[in-house]
Amino acid sequence: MIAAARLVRHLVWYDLRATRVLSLVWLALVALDLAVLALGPGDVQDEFDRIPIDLFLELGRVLGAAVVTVAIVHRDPLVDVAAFWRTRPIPRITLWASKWVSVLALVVVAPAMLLGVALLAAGLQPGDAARGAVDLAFDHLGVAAVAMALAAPTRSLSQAVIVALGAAVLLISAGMLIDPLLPSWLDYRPAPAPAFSAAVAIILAGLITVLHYVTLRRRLVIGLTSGAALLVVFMMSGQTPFVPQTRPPAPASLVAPGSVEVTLRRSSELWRPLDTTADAGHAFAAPMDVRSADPSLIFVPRLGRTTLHLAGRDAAVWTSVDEPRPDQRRPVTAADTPFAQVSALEKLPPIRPPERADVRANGVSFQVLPSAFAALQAGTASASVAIDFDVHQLQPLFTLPVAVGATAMVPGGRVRVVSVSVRNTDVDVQLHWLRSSQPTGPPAVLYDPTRRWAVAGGTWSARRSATGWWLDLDTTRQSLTFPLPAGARSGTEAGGAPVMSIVMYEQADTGFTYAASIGVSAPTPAP
Amino acid sequence: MAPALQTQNLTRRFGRTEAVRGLTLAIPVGSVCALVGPNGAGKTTTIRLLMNLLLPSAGRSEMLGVDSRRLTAATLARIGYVSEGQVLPEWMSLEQLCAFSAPLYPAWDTALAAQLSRQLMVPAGVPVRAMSRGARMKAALVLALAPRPELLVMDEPFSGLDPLMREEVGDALRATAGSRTVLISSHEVEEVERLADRVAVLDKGRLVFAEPLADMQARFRDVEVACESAPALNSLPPSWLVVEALPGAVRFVDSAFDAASLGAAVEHHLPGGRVTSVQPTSLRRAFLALARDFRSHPA
Repeated sequence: MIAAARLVRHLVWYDLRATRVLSLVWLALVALDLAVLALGPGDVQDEFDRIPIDLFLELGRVLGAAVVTVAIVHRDPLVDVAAFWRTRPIPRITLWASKWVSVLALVVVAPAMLLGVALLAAGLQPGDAARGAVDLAFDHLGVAAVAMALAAPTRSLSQAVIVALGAAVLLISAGMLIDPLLPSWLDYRPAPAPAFSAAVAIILAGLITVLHYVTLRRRLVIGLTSGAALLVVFMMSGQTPFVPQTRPPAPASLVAPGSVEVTLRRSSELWRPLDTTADAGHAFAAPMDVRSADPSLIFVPRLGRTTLHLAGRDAAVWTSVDEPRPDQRRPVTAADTPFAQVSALEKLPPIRPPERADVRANGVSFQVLPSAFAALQAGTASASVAIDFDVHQLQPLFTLPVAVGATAMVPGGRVRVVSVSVRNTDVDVQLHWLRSSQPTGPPAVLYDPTRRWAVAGGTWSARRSATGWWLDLDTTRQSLTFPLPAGARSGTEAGGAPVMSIVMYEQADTGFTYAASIGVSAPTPAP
Repeated sequence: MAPALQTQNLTRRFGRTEAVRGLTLAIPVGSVCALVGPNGAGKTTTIRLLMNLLLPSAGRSEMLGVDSRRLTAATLARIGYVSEGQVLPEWMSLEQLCAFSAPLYPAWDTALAAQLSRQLMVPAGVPVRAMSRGARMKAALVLALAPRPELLVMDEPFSGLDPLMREEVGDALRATAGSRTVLISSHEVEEVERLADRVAVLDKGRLVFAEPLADMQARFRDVEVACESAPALNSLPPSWLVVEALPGAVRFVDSAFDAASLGAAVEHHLPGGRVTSVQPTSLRRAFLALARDFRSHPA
């Protein structure tokens, strides 16, 4: 064991020495990227000025991690019959271990330590800095694992790139070919947590590289790599699981039954005829107000079975924020109950502004067969619908004055205002968001805290990545745009004192959500 | 004593092509065996099978008593390997390669490595990628010899080298020979003749023969027969190779020379003929005779 450890150390030393130029260049890039991340950008006014820098640094760091990993593996290629290393007295498993140690040291541990130091220098607590460093290490470990799986059965970077491109084409083609063959219920397979999928990918890549080093069966390894990639993509492309029906109902104190109203008007411009077939009937789409006394609640329509009633007859239909399930995609016929769901509940804004206890949904829509429509118009029928919502409770995250340089410490990180500008009637605020996650919804912007007047509708301009890990570009700098409050000319009043504040909320980590069944009723038909 | 290297019915196919066909060969410990044959004879494939760089389609092989497919690091530490097309780590100089390799081999001889580097005049401090082909081969030879291996396997070590370099490499091999077993594949027959004490001839993947070089040299003779009239050459013994009809004479290579019976055989097959010259055959000429004979009589 000691001899093996010495041999690993010997090999690692030569690996690091052989790749020193490339590694130093990459580490310099990493250090620059992490310094910008931790210390924040300057007073950046123009979005076009910052995107290329961020893109360059981020892509350079990630691609560099892959390239350095491939370079380390390819220092001692085991591919081909002319391979020097296959005739040397080095146990292949030791060679494999040395590669992993080299990669871990250079691609995972070194950047994580750099980030930890940078975060400490930025003023974060040691625990938060350590968490950020661990997140970065996990991020790089995923990149390195995939790169190693590509590098092991190849001999050069160009070969590895070709294999990667081939794998991508294979995955896309396989998805297109296999998807129609799968049973429809598989379309709604649950997706595991991204971290779980990443862990599976890392473990599979490690096993595949071991297999290559031990057996040197290149075709088998490439085949298994493709299979593993298919498996991971299949896992990650699953759907968000349906909320189990066994969730506890919301307590009365949380949301009052009957506090949500939707009016189905008998004669309204909200009805529109469907033009697909003569018998398609009419569609109804109505705005819906969700009202609650508690401003910290958000309502998310639940996917799944919803009950409609028409003239006392029940119809079980599905509501969905996207496409109906494949097994629900069928034309409505006269044999159906008069109501059948066709289109979707559009997404409700998942956050509530703090001062007004309402959230406006774009609508709820149904397809109504001609006979039912006629009955509604004639006033001889009434309708109601029950829609389940998940109710999430939010907690304030921070309040930040809208002024350049304003800083707020948040759990696990820090946020700072980088720039504020007024454009026409909008206020643009750019934040340096040094935290592993972003808030769950758009911020509320308070104008004049004494009056507690809120502006809703601030938006994040950046996208959140699938992984949500620490160093995602989207989580490091954020841009808010919200309408300028009436009467305000800028973000500051005379004297420079900030009068606007940003309040952000995020979902409380309560461990569960509530389900509320909210009744929606049509008025009793006029006699 | 078990042979240092042996194969049993070793076969390797590439698609429909049989590169090595049922090769059975044993090389005793301490001998230097030349594996000769024309291009495409299967020499390199055989060595790659022995070194576990290729997997056999059938049969098996052993190196130092270990199945080639299960060569461990401990066994590889006792084997030196030099190959014409071997890829060396290009970023290292020979000194760095030696420093890297030394801890891997229990019997690494640093002094010998330095001596060989000087003797072969391998450029110092130059990375492999900047070396000439000959210098690379010399560097590979230093790396193969410095661990004082019990078994040295060389695949076309003289390929592409100029005569001076061949001489230097040959000298280095002879100087460090000791009691090690050597398998050297080459079509540079003259070079291996000076090194080898055994010879194995391959053609089209098959072993033609394998025997001590002395036995082969005793068995092969260049024979010239004077004939007064033009002889019929259509029913000659199969052991007479490369038969040439000259004005008033016939010349051939006898691959089963027996001084006592040669006169009778000549009398029987070449009536009126008289043996005028019997000379030892060089390995090169024997090899060429065999190769031409196989080309004209593939069966």
